[in-house]
This record gives sequence, C-alpha cells and structure tokens, in this order.
Amino acid sequence: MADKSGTGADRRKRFEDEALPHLDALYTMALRLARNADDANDLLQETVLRAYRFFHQFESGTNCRAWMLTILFNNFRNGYRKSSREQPASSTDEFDRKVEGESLRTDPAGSNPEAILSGQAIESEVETALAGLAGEFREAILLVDVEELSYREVSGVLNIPIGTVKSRVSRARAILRDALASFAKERGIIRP
Amino acid sequence: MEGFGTPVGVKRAGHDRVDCGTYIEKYLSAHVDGELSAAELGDAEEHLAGCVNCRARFAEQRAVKALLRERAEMRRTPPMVRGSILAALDAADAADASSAAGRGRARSAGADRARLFSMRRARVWIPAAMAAVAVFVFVMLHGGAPPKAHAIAPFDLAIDNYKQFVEHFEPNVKSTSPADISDAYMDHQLPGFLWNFEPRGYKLIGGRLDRLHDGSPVSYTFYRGDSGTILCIYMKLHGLQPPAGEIEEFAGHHYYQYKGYSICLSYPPGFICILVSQRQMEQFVQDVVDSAP
Repeated sequence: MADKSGTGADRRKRFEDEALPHLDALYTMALRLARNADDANDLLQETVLRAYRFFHQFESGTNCRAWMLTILFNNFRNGYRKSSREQPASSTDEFDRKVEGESLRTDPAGSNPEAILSGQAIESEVETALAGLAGEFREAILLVDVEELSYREVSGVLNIPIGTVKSRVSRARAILRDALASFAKERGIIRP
Repeated sequence: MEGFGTPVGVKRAGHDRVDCGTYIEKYLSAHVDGELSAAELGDAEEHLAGCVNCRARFAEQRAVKALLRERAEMRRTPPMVRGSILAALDAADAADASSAAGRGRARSAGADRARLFSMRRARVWIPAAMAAVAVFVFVMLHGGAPPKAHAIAPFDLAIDNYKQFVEHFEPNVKSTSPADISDAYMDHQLPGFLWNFEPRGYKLIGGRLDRLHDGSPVSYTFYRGDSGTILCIYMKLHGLQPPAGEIEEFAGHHYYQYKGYSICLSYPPGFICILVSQRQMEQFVQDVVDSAP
C-alpha cells in the first residue's frame, strides 16, 4: 500500500523532473501548429496529460523532448480535444499573422522598446523566413535546428522515413538561406 | 528490398570523388547537422578541402542553422496555463488513486478513460483471419522463406481482414473520437497516429484492437466513404522488409497492386502500417498522399 502510493508520487516526481522542463518548447510548438493561443493551450494540456498517462512507456535515457513532441504532433493530427472551438487550422499558409497578433505577446520583452530594437528585429526576420516555408519543411527544420533532434528522432515525431526528413531539412535550409540572404549579408553572416 | 536502408551517396574510399552538385544536393545539409556516416563524412571533407565555394556554402548553412537556434521565437508557457496543467495532473493522480482503491486494479489512465476500451475478454470475437495472422507471424518469427511476389502473407492477412470488415466491422474501442482511439492504441503499445482521410471524403468508422497469436498487439482502423473503404492495420515490425513487386514507392510509402486490391505499406519506427482498399491504384495513391503526415 505504502509501496503503491510511493510509486504514484515517484512517477509524478520523475515526470516533473524529466518531462516538464520541456513545457516551453512544447508550448511554442503548439502555438506554431494551432496558430492561436486558446487552441495551443488545449493542445498543450492534452499533450502533457497524455504524456503523463503514458509515462511508463517512456524509456529513461532517451530524448524526453522528442518523445513529448511525438505525442504533441500525434494529438494535433488526430484532432485534440478542444475545450470550446471547432476545427484545428489545417492549412499551413496563414500562420504567423494570427500567432503574432493575438497570442504571442506574453513575454515582457514584447513591450520593451529596447528588446524590439535589438533581438526582436532579428527574431521577426527569422520568423518571417520560417513563415514562408511550407508546413512540412518548417516542421522538419524547427525540430532539427531549434529542438535539436536527430534525423532519427524527427522521423519518429513526424511519422515519416529518415530519408524524407533529410530531404525536407535540406530543402528548408536552402530556402531559408535565400530568404535570409539580404538580411544575413548586412550582418556579415553570409558573403555577398 | 533493394535500396531500402542503404545510405544514399556512400562511396568507396578513394573513388568517385564527390563533385559540387552531389555535395550540395546530397551531403551539405546532413553535413551541417552532423548526420553523415563515417564514409560520407570522409568524402565530404575531402571535397571541402579542395573546394572554396562549397566551404563557403557549408559556412553559410551552418550560420543559418545557428541563427534559427538562437533566434526562432521561444515562448514561455503563461503561468495560468502552467497552473492549469499542474492542476490537471493533480486530478489525474486523484483519479488514479480512487480507481486503484475502488477497483483494486490501478490503471495509469484516469477513471474516465479506462472505460473507453475493453478487450471483451469474456467474449473474444476472433476474426476468421486470425488463422492467417498466425501463419504470417509464424513465418516472420521463425525465419520462413521471404514472401514471394505471388503470395505475400501479411497482405493476404490484410485482405482477409479487409473483406470481413467491409461486410461487418465491429469496433471494440468504445469511442469514435480519433483522440480516444489513439489513446487506446497507445495503451497497447501501438502507434497513436491515426490517418485522417476525411479531406478525401472518408469517415472514421472506428478502431479495433486484437492480439496476434504470439500475444503482440494489432490495431484495425476502418474508414468508409462514398467512393470506397480503407482499412489501416498497425502491428509490430517482425522484421518485415518491403516485399518485391511494388509498383511505386513515394515518401516511404510502398504501393502494391495485389490480388485486385490496392495496398500501401509503410514503416513507422518499430512497426508496420498496412493500408488496404479496393480503390483504383491512382485514386488510392492520391488518398494516401493527401492524408499523409
């Protein structure tokens, strides 16, 4: 009996130690997928609850962020339970306007003029370039470059073969390189 | 089997030096990501050592990668959202504790979830096709001859099931919500990804879980639309390689025209996924491509 409650508390503690540190990464990805804050919150909550429920299936020592992202993408594609709204946004085209406009200004930097002048300008340049990518390229490059997953892990998250991951990343990076070219040249990141 | 799992662009040392076109197309991005094999890395470095343009390209792409890592927006979870998640975890813990106390058999699922699925142990409905499953698994597990083009055991199994389900599909996952079906599949160590053929006019009829005779789980998801029906089967990999005779391979999906049925075989990590339909191959490929993740 003591054993049983010990197991439950232990699971909760392990979950908080291993899984919850990835909450911000999941939240950011949820915003990118769901495109508005309310749906992103539902998607995130559903993902975390499901991860908790299936935490016994997580293999310790493997990449917990990749594991949780897999659940997030599965939830998104399977149509997560939304508390109040209808359909998830399924087209990949009108992403950032909404996200920028209505949901993402939750951090203090958003209203700080200095932050806007320095870091934020670069961020928006990068975000604009990302927004120009088709959804499947954007997902692949974000998982590799931002979430720092291996091609194998991305293959698991997106449920696609490794060869497809490789070609999507390659394609995405080539497009980003061109999109960021003028910007990057100004800053001497790439050669004119 | 040819080409499956063979690294692209691997060359024998000292031969076929990589040219710029090959480097950029096949190596560059994976090089930047540290995803080349040892042999490929040798070839790539050899090329870069002698090519100032590709060296510049490599540096550029690495800079793009760094830019993304540093500058793509990362959002902090709003405290209220975090709070409601922690509260939901508390509620799940409480539900577990009460269901453990109430039923003496703890499930990691909340009490509300536990009732969504039952295997009907008392009245197990065994599809006739289970015999075929047994044969297939026996072949897979006991090193039988590789399936020949004219008789592919897993496809026969898939078709037998399909024929039966077209007549009568009896779901045993007690919900038709994709999220619930996905949960039930994951509960049984199967992939939680459900194909969504809705944009192609198919309705998800339901999900069914069974076990093969070796005890490994198998899921059947059935879709029906005006233009036909599709059955999706997930099971453990059992070492199955793509059989010979495919008519097309696209983005990791292997298409077969087999005994009058259209079949798509794919490989979620550790599993196989077989889609079966009576649709014409051309339309079937379109169904799959439009619904693929």
